[in-house]
Amino acid sequence: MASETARDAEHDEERAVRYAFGLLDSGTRATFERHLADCEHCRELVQIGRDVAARLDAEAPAVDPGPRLRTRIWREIAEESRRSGARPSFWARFLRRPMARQPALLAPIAAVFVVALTLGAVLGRQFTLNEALLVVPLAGSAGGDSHVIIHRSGATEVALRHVADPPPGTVYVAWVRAPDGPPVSAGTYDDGNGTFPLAISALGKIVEITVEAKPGASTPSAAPILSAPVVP
Amino acid sequence: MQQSDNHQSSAPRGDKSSASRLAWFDSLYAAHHRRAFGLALSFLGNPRDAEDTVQEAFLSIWRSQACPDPSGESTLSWLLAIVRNRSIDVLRSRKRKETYPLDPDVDTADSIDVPIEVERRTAQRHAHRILERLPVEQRRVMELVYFEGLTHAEIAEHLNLPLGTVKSRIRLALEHLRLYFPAREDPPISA
Repeated sequence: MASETARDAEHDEERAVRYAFGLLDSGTRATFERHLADCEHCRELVQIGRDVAARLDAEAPAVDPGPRLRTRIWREIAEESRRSGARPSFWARFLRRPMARQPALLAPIAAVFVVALTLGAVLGRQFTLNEALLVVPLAGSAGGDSHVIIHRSGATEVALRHVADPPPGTVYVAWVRAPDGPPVSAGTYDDGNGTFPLAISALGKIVEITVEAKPGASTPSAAPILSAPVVP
Repeated sequence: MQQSDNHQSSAPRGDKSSASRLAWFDSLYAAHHRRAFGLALSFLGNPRDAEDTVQEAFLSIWRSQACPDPSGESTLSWLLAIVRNRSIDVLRSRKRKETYPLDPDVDTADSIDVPIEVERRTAQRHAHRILERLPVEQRRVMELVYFEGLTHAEIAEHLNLPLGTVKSRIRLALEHLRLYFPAREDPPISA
């Protein structure tokens, strides 16, 4: 939708309705909020619009999506926290305070700083090892947005995203094979969304995902639903 | 599209530890996920798309750092507004795919998922039941605002009406609907 920031004042009533229904883009929203401060007419219309939108929303029936949705959300939060290296906001606030206001804390802080430096060196090395060296998209009939990830440490992962869970009674099995060799089982997964380790290095080889009736199969029983040559 | 994050301005930000924020988020999910999923399903008619939409809505709240009362009515309204707007985004994305197929050999008519559309319209009956109380000309414009998120100009073009007529019908429809609903105790609007 085109930005609506150029609209003139005569369209404020439209913007009031769209603001109330949460349909304005962020730039227009900021402009309109300044207008709202001085316009009782628009404030009243926004109040009516919000009220109506909320009432219509609230009429929708409650439907239980099942436990899978909660699992997906919690997994994503855990992954985001891991990626961002989140830490308690207390420390962020504490470190912003001027040190001159808390001299009694300087010695313990110095000790903590030394420990943190040591820990940082260890974690930094770990972070470096975790750095992704190669990310290769998996393609195939399963669709989704999945990848094979090779880390600097050599660890290899399969990140499945937006792939349907395997049908009941089946699992996904990852296979790694050299271009002219037999496939070797490298992991079994029961979820279409998640990041899973590959037991075998895949660099220069082909990774394939198949649906199998049970874990532990020695050869694939069906054509791969996802595959990728793992080459830079 | 705006994700109805106006609510954040009145919410405390980043004042809780990770553990307590997780507990707060868990309470929020437990209190409202069924309503959120029901609303997404009513717009999209497809459980998988509805799941994706509700997941993104909850994650956007998690990322916002806002921590309003998890069981509060205004928090539910905020969450549902996010779900509704994300659902409208998904519907628009579907329409773009229907209108502009990447493969010129694809027949546009065949690319419309008729069962999903039927299921969606069936699930939307809850809101239609309310909108049916409006005169038909007001109902049509409100359906295009609420279900499709169209601008006044788009509605005018869609219904072949003057822009001023669309504006006045929406205004009348909103006032009519508000009279139909019992009074709520919402906080006053502030910029």
